[in-house]
Amino acid sequence: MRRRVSLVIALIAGLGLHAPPSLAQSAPAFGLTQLMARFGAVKSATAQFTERKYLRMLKSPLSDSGVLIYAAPDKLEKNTLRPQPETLTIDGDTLAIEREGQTQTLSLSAYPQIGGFIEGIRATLAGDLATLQRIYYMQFAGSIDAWQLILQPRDAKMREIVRAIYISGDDVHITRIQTVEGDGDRTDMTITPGSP
Amino acid sequence: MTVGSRLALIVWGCGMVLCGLVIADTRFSADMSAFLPRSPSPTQQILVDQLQTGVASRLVLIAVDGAPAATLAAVSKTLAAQLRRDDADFIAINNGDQAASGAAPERDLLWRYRYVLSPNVTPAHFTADGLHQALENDLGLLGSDMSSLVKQSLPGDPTGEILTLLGQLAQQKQPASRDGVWFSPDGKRALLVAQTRQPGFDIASEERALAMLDTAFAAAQKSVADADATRLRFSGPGVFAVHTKTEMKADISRLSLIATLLVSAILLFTYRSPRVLLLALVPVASGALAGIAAVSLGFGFVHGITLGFGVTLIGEAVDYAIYLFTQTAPGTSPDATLPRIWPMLQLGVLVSICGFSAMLFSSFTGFAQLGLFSITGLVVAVAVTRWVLPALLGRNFATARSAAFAPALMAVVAHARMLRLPMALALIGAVAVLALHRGGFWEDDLTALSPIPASDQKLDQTLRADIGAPDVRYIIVASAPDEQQALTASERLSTVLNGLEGRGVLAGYDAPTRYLPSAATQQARLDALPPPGELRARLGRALQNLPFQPDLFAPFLADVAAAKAQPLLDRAALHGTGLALKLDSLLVEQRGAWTALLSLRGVTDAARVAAAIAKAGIAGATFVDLKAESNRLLEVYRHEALMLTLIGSLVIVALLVVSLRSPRRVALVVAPLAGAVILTTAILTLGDHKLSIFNLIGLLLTEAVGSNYCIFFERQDWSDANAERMVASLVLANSCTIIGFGILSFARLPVLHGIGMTVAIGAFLSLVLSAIVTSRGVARR
Repeated sequence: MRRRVSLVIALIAGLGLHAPPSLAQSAPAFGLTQLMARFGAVKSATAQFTERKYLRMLKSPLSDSGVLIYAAPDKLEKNTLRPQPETLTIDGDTLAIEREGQTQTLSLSAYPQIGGFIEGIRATLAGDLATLQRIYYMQFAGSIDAWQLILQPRDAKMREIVRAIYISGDDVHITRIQTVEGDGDRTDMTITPGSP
Repeated sequence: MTVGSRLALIVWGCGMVLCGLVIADTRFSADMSAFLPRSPSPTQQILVDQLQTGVASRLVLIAVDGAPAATLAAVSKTLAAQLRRDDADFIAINNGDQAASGAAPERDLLWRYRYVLSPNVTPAHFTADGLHQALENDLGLLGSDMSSLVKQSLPGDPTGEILTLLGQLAQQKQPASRDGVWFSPDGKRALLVAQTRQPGFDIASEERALAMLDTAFAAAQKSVADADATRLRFSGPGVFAVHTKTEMKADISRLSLIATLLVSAILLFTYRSPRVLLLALVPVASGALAGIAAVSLGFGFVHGITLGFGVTLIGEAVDYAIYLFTQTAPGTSPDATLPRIWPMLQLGVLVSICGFSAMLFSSFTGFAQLGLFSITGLVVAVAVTRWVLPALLGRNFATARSAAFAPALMAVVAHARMLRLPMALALIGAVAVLALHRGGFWEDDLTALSPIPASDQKLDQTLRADIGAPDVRYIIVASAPDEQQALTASERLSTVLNGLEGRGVLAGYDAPTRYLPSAATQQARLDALPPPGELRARLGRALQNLPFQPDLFAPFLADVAAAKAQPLLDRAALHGTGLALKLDSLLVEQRGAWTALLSLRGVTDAARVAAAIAKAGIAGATFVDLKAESNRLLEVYRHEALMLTLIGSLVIVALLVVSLRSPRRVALVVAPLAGAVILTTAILTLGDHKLSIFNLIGLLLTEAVGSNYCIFFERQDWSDANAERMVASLVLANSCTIIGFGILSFARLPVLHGIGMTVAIGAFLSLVLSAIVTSRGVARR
């Protein structure tokens, strides 16, 4: 549980808000290990996102936008505001989606379609290299103000669902998350710090 | 040895051999439902049957605790995997692990039959407008975070029937989940629900399944790291049955042993002769054997509780031998004693029979067995005392020592009348206790009568709450002559309940037609689906101005055509899925009649539901409040126990009137008995305790047993030199009876405990009061 909390904190830290001043100082040699260490310190954050989904079923992409909110100790919300209000809440292992007044609650680990993806991002941002390396093949490149991390599931079954996750960032600010699903569908999320 | 006594020995010997043969062939049962009455109404009968053989009776709730959540989850998964391999004992194991459990065949089935199962399948839903609306909704879902969940089903099911069906199933509250398996809300216990192959009352199978569970858990503990501290706990009707049986066995063997030892010790101390001791036990053993054989012949099986009741027979049947031994003066023959005490023995046994025979009419099979067992046991014991013992004793038997303490006792009895005032005060006190008793006289809690220990009941409640099993209080029962009519009734009831749900009168409900709609409804839904060409045209119109790829919905067109061509869903098709389990518990066939059960959740206004159901006028449908029903049931039991006690008492008095032929003499027997009953009741209810029906039955037995002492006291000619011996034999006999019933009051099963305690107190008070009341008569004589 403690580990999971820190994962969420790290994820939110990645959303790039209210980073403590100390983190602004640049470290001499920048690598994945240093990046992880910096994520852990951020306690709460709010950021805006816009998302485009390219689905093979559709002739044109779908767009949505909203706010990402983190509240200590372990709650994360993805508040979609347009085109249709929807709230996704992750609390420990529980995932709740509220839509049109109805709430659906799922266990993250029971739904790898969703869980695998979120778990991946969380583990990455927690700096839990051991877990990451157990689940993914990893590539890391770039500098502190422009880095990119590529995650590819080691498990063939999981690769059928998520082919790869591309995460880009500037220090402890994640700026973009691209996901390529097993069937070729893509999601491209751009993140900017601050409330709407 | 005379011809008569030789004949008696032969008859006795043959009888015992026959009893032994019958007993060797007897089936013994520990099913506690024998102590539930044959139910008065058909509705209750269905409920009791459901309780005994239904799906609910097969459930075992399992908890694993004592370690961090991750460890518990790992143990849960390993344990579930082990148990799933054990087809012989378990038919289903669920721990919330969707990857491993049998959820897949369920989803396949729902998918294949979605058009006959979904209540949303109406003609309007499949017009061009209806389809357009559904597609717009799909687009919204695709753009949402649920897209990955709906993407797979969308091409075949744009109208979202599968989502409707899954949503309906999800309405039933699911337990909390951690690391992919079920947990208690506080995360301290991993939870599993197992379903045994055999019903819960099948104790042998249930025992095997639970042993398997223990083995599987031990193995799981070994294969998971750091799992040594984890602990397995389980509950459920079958678990209760096994525990009750184990407990009953332990209780009965322990208590019979203690009673036998104590009674033997007293007899040995009094008579100082192992031979006399053995002889005294002859009527007891004969009575017990005959009692068991009689119950076996009369009922086809013998309940464990009945055997437990045999403990009391040890204390009671030994009385007859004591009367014979103690009252035989040195230098005389037992043959001479018998004619003197025989009238009293005879009357005593007759009164006891009257008391016990009231129990024969109890609707509790268990009580009826106790009655038959005791009657047969006592009759045989007294007969053996009368005809067999003298033959075994020989002519010059006498227990010189036996009355050594008699003079002292006699002195006490002679002064017993001094206790008249204290007795009167005690009776006034008792009446005051009864009058001032607060909070109701009767035990209203059915669980207090239950053989299941309070700690087990508490564990069960905790696990049930954890798993989110609804505490069903309100159900609707619809009976019909055949399956289709029962289903039709369920559908009509569903319509009424949907309306009530919309108005907030109830939060939700479960009905058999969720899993198996009636054939008529299934056909109507299929008729609502347009033919292939027509559907293609309508879909084309519906897709205008929407971004879907042109041929995306080809699977939908194919599936609708296939749905219209395939046979309707029937019970057989559900076989092997979780849905069959649900249906089995909600649609029951019994003796050619079908019953649909609809369970309601979150009822805010029961009266309104009842009124709406009544107004709908659906044949055979009844709204049942299980709590009210169980209260009513308890009232019926209590009323019956009260009536049996009253009738039994009246018959006893009538018998005394006929045989004693003197109001004064009847009063001398009845008065101390009545006093003993009043005092016993007051003692039992002291401190605002409540009376259970077992106490009530105990009071009846107090009369049956206690009356014997009153009769002996009343009949005694006090000038006779034998008076001393008589008093000695009564005190000795009474002590043995109190030991028998008193030991029973240490039983953990409420039925044995309640009866034992009541009779032990009552029998003792009967003797004391009888001495006080009668010795006063002596003084006057």
